[in-house]
Amino acid sequence: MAWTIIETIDQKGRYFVYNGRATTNGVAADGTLIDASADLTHMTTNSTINPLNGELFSKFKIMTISVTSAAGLLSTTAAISLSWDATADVPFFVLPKYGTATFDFRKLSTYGLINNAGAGITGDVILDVGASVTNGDSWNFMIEGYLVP
Amino acid sequence: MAITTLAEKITQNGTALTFTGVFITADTDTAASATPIAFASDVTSTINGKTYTGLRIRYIGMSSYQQVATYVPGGCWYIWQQPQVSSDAVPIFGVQHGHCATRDFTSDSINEAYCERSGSLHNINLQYKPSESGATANIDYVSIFIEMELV
Repeated sequence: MAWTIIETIDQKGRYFVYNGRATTNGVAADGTLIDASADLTHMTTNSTINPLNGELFSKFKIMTISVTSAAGLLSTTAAISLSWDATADVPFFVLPKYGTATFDFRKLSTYGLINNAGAGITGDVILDVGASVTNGDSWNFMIEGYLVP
Repeated sequence: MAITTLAEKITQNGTALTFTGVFITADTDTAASATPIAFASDVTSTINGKTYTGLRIRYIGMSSYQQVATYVPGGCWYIWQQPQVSSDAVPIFGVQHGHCATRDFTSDSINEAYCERSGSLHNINLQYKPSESGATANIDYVSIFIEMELV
């Protein structure tokens, strides 16, 4: 296990809020932050078919990301990106090394970040790591999203 | 040293444009620049028979990470706007390496405070200011989110 992830997801209809902390253990391997098929209901990939008003969803948009870094000052970790999972992962958010910020993607005319992954799209958000990670680096997240077809 | 694009996408809906991208520079000792949004080739500037000549930025978010063994101050990612007829680009917003920040320009109290400069701006540039002297070359990453409208 390359990552220790403590998380909770509250979902109401198409909308959800993810709260979690992801911490590396020094092993350079990807992790799954949001497992769409396991963590969210009303998904086509969910083994328990549970339509919402007759509709199922294949992915989600991200409306906001609040992130807090606890990476070490001299960490030699290569950049870790949040990426849309697919055969070829699509990075969309570089985790900052320092500080805290809230990104409000509702300000975008797309009203959220669109999952634009191609072949092999799963709907998941993964922690896409580079060649090296430093044991103990961690990030806290609060992510708001909503399901889309 | 060039800036390498890891991912980018421009979504245009009428006069609204959304840009998302992830970029990298492999040498933080060296200045670098790129043009993520080239007005002439990336933007449909005639909408319903009306031709637009510039871009107004409404929102920017940037998040950066530097792979570093020895901390050296300096090193910043900047967004600039490139005027149509002048070589002098206009700095808009930036983050020091490893940091993250956002700016909602639509909340400014007057419209002129939007990042519009005479309506003649075209390209959106990304520049990397190198670290201070004596830096050890590192790899620096940034993700960028920009919401714009044609003017």
